[in-house]
Amino acid sequence: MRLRSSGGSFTSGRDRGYNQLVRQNATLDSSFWIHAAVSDVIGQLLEDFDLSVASAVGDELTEDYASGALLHGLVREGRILVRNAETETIDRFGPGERGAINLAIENRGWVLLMDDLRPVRAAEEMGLAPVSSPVYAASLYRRGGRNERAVLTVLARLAARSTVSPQLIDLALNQIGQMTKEGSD
Amino acid sequence: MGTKLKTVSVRLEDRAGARVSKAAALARQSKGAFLARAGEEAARSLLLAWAVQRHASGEASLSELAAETGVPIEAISEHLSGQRSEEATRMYLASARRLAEALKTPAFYAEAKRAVKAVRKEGVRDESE
Repeated sequence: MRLRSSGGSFTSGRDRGYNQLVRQNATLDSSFWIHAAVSDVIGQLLEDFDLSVASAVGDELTEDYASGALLHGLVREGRILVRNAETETIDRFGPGERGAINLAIENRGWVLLMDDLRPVRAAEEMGLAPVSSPVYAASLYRRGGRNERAVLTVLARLAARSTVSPQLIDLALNQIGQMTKEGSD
Repeated sequence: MGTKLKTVSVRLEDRAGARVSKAAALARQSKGAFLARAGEEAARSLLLAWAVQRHASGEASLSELAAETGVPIEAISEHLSGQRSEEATRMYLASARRLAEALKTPAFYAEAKRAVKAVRKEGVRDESE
């Protein structure tokens, strides 16, 4: 068992930092996966979490595209599991987002990795603690996994993608800026 | 197992029909195959433009748009990126600058600018590959 101390906080501005002593279970939606692939943090993600995805997420990410091919390859290797919730508690949003949220509802200890603002807000209202890709990137800086330039490059890639809410990027920027300030004081 | 094909009939006036015949011949396709491809491309283009608007206004997520349009989520994501990347990058730099001013850490903004420069270089390299 690896001992790891990690920081993380969530999208709402409420800082729900957590200390990670063991690899945590997590599930994600397609947009988080695409953004993680674009920003080159998949390797770190696999080290940090035991990942399970809803089959709807696998259906959304086709093998015709790089990030989809990567996901399906990791599923075939058994490094990511495909699981579905037994109950469809939520029926809003897209199929992948519903699948991820429903899995997180049934597995309250899991981390929900999700990027689109509306389902993120809905998940928070249901008592879940979604983590967005910019905030996950900021946690890498906090834990020393990436230096300031590297993590700002991750955020610049996410910004350039333009499918991550600027609010989520600003939140992560603020966290990194504060940590940089504290480090320099 | 073969792919199921749906039949759609179209009626063309003489001159349009002649243009389609000529274009299909140039593309070395039957008129049906030519029109099917043209229709598919036009539909995809229109749906992508519609998806950009819906996503930009916050009305729909990538997952919802993929489900509604039948266009793969990554195709929508890439199209959005192509349309709005510069504007989103400018917003990122503006946020970094404001934060650096507020925290009195000018080096932070300098690092953010270097990061953007590096990502722009990556984009140029990707396009040329």
